[in-house]
Amino acid sequence: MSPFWIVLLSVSAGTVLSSVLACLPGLHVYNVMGAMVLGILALEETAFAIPSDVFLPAMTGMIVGWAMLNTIPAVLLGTPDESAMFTVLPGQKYLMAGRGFEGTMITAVGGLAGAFFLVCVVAPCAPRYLPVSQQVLKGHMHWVLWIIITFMLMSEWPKGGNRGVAGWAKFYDAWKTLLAGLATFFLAGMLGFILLTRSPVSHEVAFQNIMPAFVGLFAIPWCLLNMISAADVPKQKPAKSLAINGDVILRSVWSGGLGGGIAAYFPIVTGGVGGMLAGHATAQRDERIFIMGQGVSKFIYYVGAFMLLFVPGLNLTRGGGAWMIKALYTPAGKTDYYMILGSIAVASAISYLMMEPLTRVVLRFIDRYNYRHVSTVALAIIIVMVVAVTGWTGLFIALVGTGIGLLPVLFGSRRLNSLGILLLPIACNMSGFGEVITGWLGLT
Amino acid sequence: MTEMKEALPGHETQSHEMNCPKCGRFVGAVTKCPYCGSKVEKRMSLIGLRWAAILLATIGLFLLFLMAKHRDVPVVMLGNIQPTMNFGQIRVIGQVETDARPFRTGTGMSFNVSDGTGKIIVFVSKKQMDALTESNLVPKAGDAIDFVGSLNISDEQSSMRLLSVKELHLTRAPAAAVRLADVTTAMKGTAITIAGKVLDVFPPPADSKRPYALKIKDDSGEQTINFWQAEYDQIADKDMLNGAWVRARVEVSTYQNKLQLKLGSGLDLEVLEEPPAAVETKTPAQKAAAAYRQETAPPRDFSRGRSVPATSLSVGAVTVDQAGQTVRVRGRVESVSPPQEGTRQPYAVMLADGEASLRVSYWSNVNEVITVKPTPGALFEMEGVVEVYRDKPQLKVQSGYKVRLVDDTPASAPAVDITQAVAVSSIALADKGQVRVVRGTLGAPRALRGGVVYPLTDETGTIDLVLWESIIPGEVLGALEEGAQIAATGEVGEYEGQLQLKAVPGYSAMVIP
Repeated sequence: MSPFWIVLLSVSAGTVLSSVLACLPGLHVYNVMGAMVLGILALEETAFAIPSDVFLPAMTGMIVGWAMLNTIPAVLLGTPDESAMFTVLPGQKYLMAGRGFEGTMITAVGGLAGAFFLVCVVAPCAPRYLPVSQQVLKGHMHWVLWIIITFMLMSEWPKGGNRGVAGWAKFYDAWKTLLAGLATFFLAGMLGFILLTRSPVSHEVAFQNIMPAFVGLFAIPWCLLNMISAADVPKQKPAKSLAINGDVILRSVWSGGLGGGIAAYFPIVTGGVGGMLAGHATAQRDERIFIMGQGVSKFIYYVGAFMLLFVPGLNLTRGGGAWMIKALYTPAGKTDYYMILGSIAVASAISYLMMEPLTRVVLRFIDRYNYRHVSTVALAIIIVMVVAVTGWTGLFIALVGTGIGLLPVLFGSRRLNSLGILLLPIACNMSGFGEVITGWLGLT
Repeated sequence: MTEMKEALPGHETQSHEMNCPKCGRFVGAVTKCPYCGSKVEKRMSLIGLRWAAILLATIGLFLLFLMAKHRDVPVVMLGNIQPTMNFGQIRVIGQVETDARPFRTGTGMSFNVSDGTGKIIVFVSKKQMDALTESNLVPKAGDAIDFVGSLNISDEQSSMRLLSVKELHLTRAPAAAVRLADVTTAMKGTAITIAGKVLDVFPPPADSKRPYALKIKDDSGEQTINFWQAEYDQIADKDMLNGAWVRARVEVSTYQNKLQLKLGSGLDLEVLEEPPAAVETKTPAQKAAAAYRQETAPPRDFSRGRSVPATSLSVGAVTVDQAGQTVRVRGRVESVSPPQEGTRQPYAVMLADGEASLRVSYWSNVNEVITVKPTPGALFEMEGVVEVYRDKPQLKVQSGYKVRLVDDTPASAPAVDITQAVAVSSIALADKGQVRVVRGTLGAPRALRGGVVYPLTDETGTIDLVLWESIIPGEVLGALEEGAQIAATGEVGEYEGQLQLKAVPGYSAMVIP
């Protein structure tokens, strides 16, 4: 079989697989890819060794399919990962108004627009400009991170303290949500220091040692809240039109491309943070632009970060997918780059076409089953996955993460503060004083 | 009393407690309505969840911190590293392969480590580099090292980042005490200890890039030690150097084809209160034996964070109750079973001690680095983790460095079979690679890096007998001296056109009374 057909079949298989898996709440594509990496390594020196022509397009398809379709559980089942945090609030608004289908499809259009932007605009320029910008920026990453952290913490405004007699009570009323946000950020940061310096997770599966914490911080609190609040999903109405036009798409690509680009390029900055920064920078008020922009942002964050590994002359490792591939394969020039770009284009088309039928299937599912029960099943799947990959130690970490992740939800602060788990330790390390803090903590 | 407002359209189906009592909108779990600012009373389950979250986030985090802090970082053989261990923290026990080299940018340094099953580069941050320099723990080639680091695995090159200076244990490669006159360029690359009286200290001229020069003298001659400002600053009594008696550990190197003695750290130079004892003009064999003893004396911690008894256990002392413990066992090899071809079985060695026996197993990668392979009848010391195999204790050896020959001859047999001795003149180039036994008188020794050469003369001729410290027991080396009558077993070899006999591993040389 010629390489063309091998790549085409591999990318199609990877995309279909991840599109279906993306509908399962709480399952992250990187967990599935991690399992695949284990399998590829096990077969490495056998007669069934999997060549890079097969696993590279397949994994590209998986990332693309997941970046596009994970909107379905995020919006319809309420189990978002970190990058979908911004989509979920307006998305849930759509769901509660019986327009869940419309919300997911608008996000999917954003994903497709992101694919066009990535393949047709970013990719041709990347080999020429990104290596240069990397040379210029690499010595400045630490202060960029600190500025992002500062903006993230300071852009959250007091939510109370408007009425009543001046004094400590009013001050506390104003500051309690902010304090909860700061507590979340620093507790998550502390968790990050522990896990990055001396993770209790077995060294055999160390490549997944942050996963339980992320699951605890983002996925489990959402499931728990769904179960406890007993929110009822109203009957969903399939939309005949998405009421979007070229202007909406272009403005979405502008805001989402900026957010996703920041997240993909800068270390540790994730889709949610990139979305927040771009949201403030571009100040788009239309709800459809916001939702579609998040679709663009999410796609560029996941797929663009992965693509950076293959840009000739750059080979920048960003995101879990790239780190996993790096352990298996070292990209070699333009051949790999074009193969990855082609895979992204094909996978985007396939996953977009799968969006509508899969959304309808999930909508029928939630229409038939109680939302609370769906959340319970999602929680069970998440817990089984954590225990299967990282054992009981991982579950304990997930529990601690859950405690921290529940704070912003229950005290009304911004959930992005949970990202302190990576932002704080990495910013400290990049600035050269991470070791001082781990020394104070007695970890090093 | 607050009057409950009807839920707004679209919010009717929501649970009662989830709607704002004032404006009727869905507010979820928050206690203040984000739309109208009214206080929202919550159910007990949400209040309970709040407290559970606070407790999990604080007490849980503290417990996790304690768990991480007191965790034993597992020892992993470099050959067993898998990509799935990326970002993991592991302990490595091995030997430093290259001197630690600072980066040009001054932001840290790196060195290579090998543990017999693989090699890896280790990166050290600037802060750690400064701490290592201050405590004179900068790794040098040949040092034994035990450290904890985090892995960074890639398809091209894997590396480690040193995690903690506190958990880095370094045992310096032995440095022989040498008289100043005996220091030659032949010792290039080795570390030696010298002592003498400081004649003068020459600081570098201003604006010069030259190093400090410290001139010392002993009974045999004079030498100059060179070092930089950083090392000078570390010297404890630097103001009292002129005329003082000092002892220093230096590295022998050459600069522009001339001998140079480099002081690696100011802490390696000690100002003495009285003249040092004269360096005994030991035979090189005795020096080698001394070095050998130094090398084997400190018990190293090979365990997964647990301590290993410094003394060896007898074979019979190992029981199934010790499963999971790391122990060192001494016994005679009864049999060696290599893995059958085409299988992935381990090597199986039976160690015996009287009636007791113990199965020892290790993988092929471990076998590859065992310097002297176990052979039946030889006395070996092995270190590993006790496991249970078919209801009996078994020792699982994880490093080739932990299999050491103690005595290669059965207790009853003589060390060298003199009856097999051949005349030196009968050994020819055609015998290269063959093992021969010779007997004769030892001549003046010549020191080698890591060994010694004696000319061995019998009635028919002379041949060089080469003895390497790594494979010849210290007591054998210590017993040899110029003029001694000996018998030796060695492999015929050639070096620079001269025939030589390389003593085979173990007790392959013995003094004839």
